[in-house]
Parts: sequence; C-alpha cells; structure tokens
Amino acid sequence: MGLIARVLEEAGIATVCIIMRREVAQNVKPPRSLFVKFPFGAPLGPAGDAETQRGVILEALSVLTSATEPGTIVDSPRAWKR
Amino acid sequence: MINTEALQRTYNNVRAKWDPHFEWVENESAPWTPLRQPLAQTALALVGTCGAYRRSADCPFDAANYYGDPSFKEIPCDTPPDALDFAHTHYDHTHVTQDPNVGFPLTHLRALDAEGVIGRFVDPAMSFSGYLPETWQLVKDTAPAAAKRLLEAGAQAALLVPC
Repeated sequence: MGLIARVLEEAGIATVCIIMRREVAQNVKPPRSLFVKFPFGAPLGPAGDAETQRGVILEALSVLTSATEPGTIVDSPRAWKR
Repeated sequence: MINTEALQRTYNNVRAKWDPHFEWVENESAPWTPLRQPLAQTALALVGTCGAYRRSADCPFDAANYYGDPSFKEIPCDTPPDALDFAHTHYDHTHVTQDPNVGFPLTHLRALDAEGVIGRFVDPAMSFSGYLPETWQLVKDTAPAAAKRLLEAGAQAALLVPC
C-alpha cells in the first residue's frame, strides 16, 4: 500500500496511509503514515465500533495536515480493546 | 534496511508457499506533495487495499493467485456498504464481513463530506487487493492508472486504508 501512496504522491496527490506493520513502512517509505496497533483485518477498529473507526480516520487526516517531513510515521495511541 | 524477526518470518513464508522470488521493497527516501489548502477545502479520495468489490457489479480480485492481483476497481462513493464483498486471502475477514466500513470506510467519508470536515469525497473510491509479492506491474502500470483517474476526478489528497 505504501507503494500506491508513493505513486499518487509523485502524481501530485498528497497522501496519508494507515499502516499496520511499522517496519514495512520504514522500508517502503510512504510519505505520511499513521501506525495503528490493531490486528490484520481490522485496520480502523472493531466491527460495529463506528466511533473508533471515525477516530482513526480523523487521526490519519491530522497526520495529513500536520506532517512536514517525507516518511513521517505517527504512532496512534489507541490499543485494541477486545 | 530495517529487518526484524517478523519481516524475516513473512519473507520465508511467502517464498516457501507462494512466490519463490519474493523480496521486500526498500526505498531510500519518500516523495512529497504538500497539502496546499485546508482539509475543509480538500477533495479527498479513498484508496483501500482490502480487496473490496461490488458483489453485483464487479468481478472479484484474483485472490487465489500466488502472485497477487495488481488491478484496481472503481467503487462509486454512494455504494451501500452491504453491497461490498472482499477478495483477499491473506487476512481474517471476520470484521470486514460484519462491518465493511472497517476496511473500506465509505460511510465515514460520506459523513465527513456532509459535515464539511473535508471539502469533498472524491468519486469514485479506488480499491486494490493488497497481497502483492511482485510489485512491478502495480508501480509501473496500475497505480499510475489509478492516480490518473483520481486526478481526473479532482483529487487533491488521498487516505489509504490497508487490511
């Protein structure tokens, strides 16, 4: 997914990725990333938890508007609660 | 190169089961396009890699292919979440099957558009299937084609959601 972000960014679209494997993003280097410690298959949070899903999206959009360095990775403070 | 036990395990697993030539991608630097306007004036696209497709309108991704499927699908922004299905064999589908917004958050982005948090939700959203051990066709062909379509649709920024 970081590779798609890089292609979009090179085409002139500012991107932010939600990522689940920090070390992969460190190697691939998408422009801006939010790292969430959720299990694979639930990148925005648990099924039915719209508040968490929306919260993660807003965190990612905050990385989009605030990051100034290419390759920025911000760690989400959220923990998996189930 | 950042190398961890987890990366080594995935590397060994993918090579043993599916793609004997798999290599992790490594880049020295990241490209950069500044966001040139406030979020509330930004046309934002959704790009998902959880293999979402419309059950009654799209052919599923070729999820069984050992080398992955680098194609993408255009998903109209007004698609109801329950019209989506997921073709991707490398993650647990429990959550996305119960609630497609977990992996392809059309409902949330429509709400952010309606509330004025973002300027506009770019139509269509783009869907990929993210297991792709051989990446050259994605990088040279399909991702640039998706970028072109998104630019034609007016996208200034994109949110990428994995699975």
